[in-house]
Amino acid sequence: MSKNDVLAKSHWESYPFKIEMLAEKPKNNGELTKEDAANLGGTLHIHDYGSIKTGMQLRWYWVLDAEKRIVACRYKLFGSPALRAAADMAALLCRNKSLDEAARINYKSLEYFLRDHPSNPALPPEKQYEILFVLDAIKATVDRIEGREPEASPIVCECTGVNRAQIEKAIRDFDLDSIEAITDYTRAGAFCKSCISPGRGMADRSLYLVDLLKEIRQAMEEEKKASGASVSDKPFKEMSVEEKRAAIDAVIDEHIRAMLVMDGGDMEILEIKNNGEHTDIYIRYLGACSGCASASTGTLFAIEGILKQKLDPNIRVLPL
Amino acid sequence: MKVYLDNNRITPVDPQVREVMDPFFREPYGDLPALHDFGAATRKAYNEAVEKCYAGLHASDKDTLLFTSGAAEAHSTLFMSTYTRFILTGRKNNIIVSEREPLPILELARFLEEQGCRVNYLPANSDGIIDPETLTDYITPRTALVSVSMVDGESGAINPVEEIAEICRRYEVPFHTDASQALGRIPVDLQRLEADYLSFSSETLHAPVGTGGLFLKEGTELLPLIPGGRMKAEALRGGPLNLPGIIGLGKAMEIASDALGFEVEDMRDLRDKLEEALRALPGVEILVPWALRTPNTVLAAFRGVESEAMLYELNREGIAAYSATVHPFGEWRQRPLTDILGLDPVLRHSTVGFALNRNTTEEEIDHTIEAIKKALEYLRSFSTLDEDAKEQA
Repeated sequence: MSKNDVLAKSHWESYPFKIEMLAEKPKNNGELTKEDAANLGGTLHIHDYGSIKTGMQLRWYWVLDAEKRIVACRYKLFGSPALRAAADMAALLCRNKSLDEAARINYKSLEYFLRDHPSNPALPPEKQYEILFVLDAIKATVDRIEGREPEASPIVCECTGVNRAQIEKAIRDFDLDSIEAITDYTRAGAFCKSCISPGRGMADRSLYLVDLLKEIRQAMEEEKKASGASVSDKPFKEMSVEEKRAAIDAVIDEHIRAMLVMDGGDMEILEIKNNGEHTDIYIRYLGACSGCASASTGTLFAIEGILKQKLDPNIRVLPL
Repeated sequence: MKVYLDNNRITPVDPQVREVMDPFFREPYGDLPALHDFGAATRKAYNEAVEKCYAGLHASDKDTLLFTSGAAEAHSTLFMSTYTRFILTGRKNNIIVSEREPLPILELARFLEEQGCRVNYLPANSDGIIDPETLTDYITPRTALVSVSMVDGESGAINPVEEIAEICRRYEVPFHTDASQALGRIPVDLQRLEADYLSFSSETLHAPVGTGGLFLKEGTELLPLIPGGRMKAEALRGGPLNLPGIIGLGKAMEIASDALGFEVEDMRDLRDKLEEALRALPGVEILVPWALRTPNTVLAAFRGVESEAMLYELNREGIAAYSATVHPFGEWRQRPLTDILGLDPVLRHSTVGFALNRNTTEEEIDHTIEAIKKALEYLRSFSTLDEDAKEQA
């Protein structure tokens, strides 16, 4: 424990303005009917994800046109105000996307759009699962429409209906290393806690979170060793230009590209130059980003800001 | 309009209680064992508070009252004393608690279980109360303690503790009951109840949080959890007592017993008004039968509406309510209350409770009813429950 744990907190008062606004005045909630779909010249797809018995359920109403592009998107749900906010933003993001593009909406992009300020997370740690639930619901719906069966995976936490595959994915995607973190990101273990470790009742359980966490962390370690340390552990300043390029590429792939791709754009690195104590990165915008008014203002500042925060404060990004 | 309906957790401080405590915050006052006049003045006020506490619970003069920092400390003192005196020495090997006990008791039971003591959990029946008959299935001559709270803090269900005490007396097993949720709502009479231990707390009694007590029946023994008392009155708990708190608690106890006459009946009328309004709404279940509930509590399950979403809407209207969520204290033994009551599993995450106090007004209840109707209509307009099941994605 530390001072941070001694201070009393609750998630309602830590919601940013955007979450509050979306929770109080959602714009995309409600349903779409066959008539709406006919008016839009598309077909209506309605799919449920989750269960009311476990406390969270989301129903998507999607109208798909002939090219399987989502032309209208609404939702109904059973869940907390944070889920409502996340679902509302996701509905907005899904619109005018192909099924493939919708399935590619990832945590970073949805979470980023829920933020008030780029550097403040949208939801407190204990509410991260709300965002993941919405993303899972989108992916499951895309799979369903395209006729793919969901992968069979044993349920680990009965109270919330979370399965092994979801937990494994969360541990890998977010580099989770504690049971509390797993609960924050998946909600597994949030209620009766008997799935966390043996000795808390229900003796016939075959899968416990502690074992699963250990197993997956071990697998991750081995994979990391096997792949060789591609990103050097040296401080950024001391890296060679090639190593810098690898480190910058990794940050762009992880934190930036998804944002640009969401809007139909992209970027590439042309050159990296050491300029005294500064590192100048010359980039070129691709797709919708080239010529976008924000490419030399907001987007640029965001890219530069993320690189500065993740790697080195002396980075400068110069678009050509 | 601000409406506070979370009174099973904490109650506002009564102005009369504040008044008797006020001198302790403005003027110097003596320590309880001090010989000087300051001490004498403190002792006078303290003794009056003690008298009021005994009178409020109809305790016999032969009973002992131990002041603590709250019900949780009372529970800890009792359970740790039981552990040291009976479990550790091997004289007894079993304790029995109800599955709906407050968290400190469940945690203490788990601690005893880890030390090798057998712990039995009494199940609540489909009315949400503990059936005294089930106790006879578990109780043995080697049972060291039975603990069943008088009132369930979430549902307001009143347990038949008098009958449970009777069974315990027959088996000569000490019986403890937590009266924190009962005092000021229903009559608590130690003459009739004859519990060996009774704990209570100030925060549910319109006194400031941080004081409580444990009544010990004549002939029962207790080892202090905090040693180092300087005088007889402190023998069971060391460290200076929370004097302003105790003096406030005494006054609060007096007011609470006086209020049982008609203020509580007014509160019951308002609660009934709210309950009737809830019953008239579609898809609303009231948990625990009316006759088995404290007069200040109504716990409802709103079909198709998630608890937190409902609380959020009510909070926007200035109304504070609470929810009885699934496994409220993160204990696997605790079944969801809706499951205990045999309700549809879709209601597990849909409970919202309203706990009044004796100062709740009719305007506040009217405002609450309107806000509930509005929130219910709004949240159900995009709830997933109102239609036939769709294909599962």
